Amino acid sequence: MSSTIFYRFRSQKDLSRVQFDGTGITVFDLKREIILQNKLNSNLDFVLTLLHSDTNEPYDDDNTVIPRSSSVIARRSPPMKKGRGTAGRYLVGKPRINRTAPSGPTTGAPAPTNLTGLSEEERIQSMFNQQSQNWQQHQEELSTHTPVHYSKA
Amino acid sequence: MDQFRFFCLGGGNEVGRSSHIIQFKGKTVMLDAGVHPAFQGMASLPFYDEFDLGTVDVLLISHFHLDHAASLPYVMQKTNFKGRVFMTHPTKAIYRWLLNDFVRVTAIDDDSNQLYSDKDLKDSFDRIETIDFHSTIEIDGIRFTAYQAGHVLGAAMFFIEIAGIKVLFTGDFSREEDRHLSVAEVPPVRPDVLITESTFGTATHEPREEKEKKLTTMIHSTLANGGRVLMPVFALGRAQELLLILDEYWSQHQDLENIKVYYASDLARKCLAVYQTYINMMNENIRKKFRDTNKNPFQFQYIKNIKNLSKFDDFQPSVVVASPGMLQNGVSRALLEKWAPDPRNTLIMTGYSVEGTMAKEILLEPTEIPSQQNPDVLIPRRMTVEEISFAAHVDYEQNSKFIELVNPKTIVLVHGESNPMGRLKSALLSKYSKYKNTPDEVKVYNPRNCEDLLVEFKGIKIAK
Ligand SMILES: [Zn+2]
Repeated sequence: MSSTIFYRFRSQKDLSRVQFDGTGITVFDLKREIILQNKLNSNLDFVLTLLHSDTNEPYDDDNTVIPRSSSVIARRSPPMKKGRGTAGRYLVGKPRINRTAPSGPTTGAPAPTNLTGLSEEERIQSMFNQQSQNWQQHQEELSTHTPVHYSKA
Repeated sequence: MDQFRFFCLGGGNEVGRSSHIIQFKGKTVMLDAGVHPAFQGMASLPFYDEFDLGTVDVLLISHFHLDHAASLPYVMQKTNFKGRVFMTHPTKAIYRWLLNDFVRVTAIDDDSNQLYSDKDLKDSFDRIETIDFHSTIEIDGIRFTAYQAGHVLGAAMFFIEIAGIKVLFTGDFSREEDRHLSVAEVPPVRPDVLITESTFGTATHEPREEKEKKLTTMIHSTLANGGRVLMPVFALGRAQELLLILDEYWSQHQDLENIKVYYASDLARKCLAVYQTYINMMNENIRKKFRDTNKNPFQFQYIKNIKNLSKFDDFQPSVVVASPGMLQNGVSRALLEKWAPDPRNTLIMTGYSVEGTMAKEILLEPTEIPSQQNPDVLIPRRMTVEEISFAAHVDYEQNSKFIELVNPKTIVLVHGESNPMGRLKSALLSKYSKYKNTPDEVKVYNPRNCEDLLVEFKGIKIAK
């Protein structure tokens, strides 16, 4: 079964569509489709934002699922700094873990370690553990920042 | 307090996709609507999503170059733009053929890369209005006048008045007289804001006579050694100036009689009629030549047009002037790939090379270049690569002299890569440092794309 999302670029008059299977599509996958459909990959140095078509609120979380038959507005903006556009992430990277999402114990955010009453050795060990946890988290982030060596379409 | 707003949709700290917005007292003027030559399709557009084009009252196009005019049909047909569009007569005449060709070329590459169709181009064409040089048009409280900018046939600077504030937009301009164009004029009235190009930053050009001598010497010696000369040019604009130089040189050198000079552009052939028609808009030099000889200087004696490479037998030394100027594809790229391996051949780059194009890459003299058809195939590059700029943009001395004559209080730099633009800004600031913190202080801005620039003007007299 084929489903549709309607979109238009903010400056455009006409609607375009993206087709997919299922009841919804993630923001990440929709951005990727929009980039490919419009051949935006000849210059990925831009930021792509999707907005709710009725409220103009941005979809901040790449993992949000947009139900089929919705319509959204796409907005192509300049990068914060030249060469810092993030659009390439949607072609090679993974969805970003949304940092602003509420993190309960099950989401895996490391709880602050209580160091009182530990021996010197235990403190050092704890510090190492925390560092490697941070490093893992950092690595995950880095993996989404892979430099993109694109060739022209 | 009323604020003047400048907002750059493209061409801010870059060369390409020029498009700027100026706003004052609820009036909005858009300046230029170009594409970026290094990219295709939507990726080549200015950041139109960042501004409501439905609010634009007037859109002024400075000249026909693709980086200033090629997204106009997109703006007029695909967005909610409802304003009026103006350009000079020669710009409009050439624009038609040029964009026709642009649509055709982008369609060959890939249909889905097309920003607009031939129909969009036709539908929008009739709604473009023309303005004569030195005439003033007033629309709903916005007054604008076109002045000669040099650079290419039909190129204009616009002097704009919105509710008492005066702005001069240079577009691309030149201040050195060449064979066919006048230099950019200094408007009689002092503007509050000058929006000027910064392509060459603080660089200095060689005098024209020296450049021409260097060019003809290089061509002559390559041919004498049995080599071929390739000159990639943008089909229209500077190409016509180069052809005037070559035609004259050939008429003065009998030993070159048997060596052919080709002009490989169907588009240029079509547009020569426009050049022949608008001789009265060129400089005194060429008008005099026309009067004296009663022969059109754009009917070349020694230069032959070739429609495509299949009709070109490449058995002996020759000179080919071919488009596109940045070697992205087409005839110039095909000849580059064919001639690159032979060290006797010479490539002469005469235009401005934009970041990200083969033109920019080849200036670094790589030992190999990728084939355009199949980027995995590498072609050895042994041909000589030379750069002699005939780009017809001002250098530092010409730009700063022009700024001095125009005498604005506020300068906004556009159309330049970050580094040259930054150097130009520093040079201007130090030139005007003596006025710092006085009422005569000169402000210089180099905004990035979509970075808001707000300037407050006190005591502006509102025109009744
Ligand atoms: Zn130009």
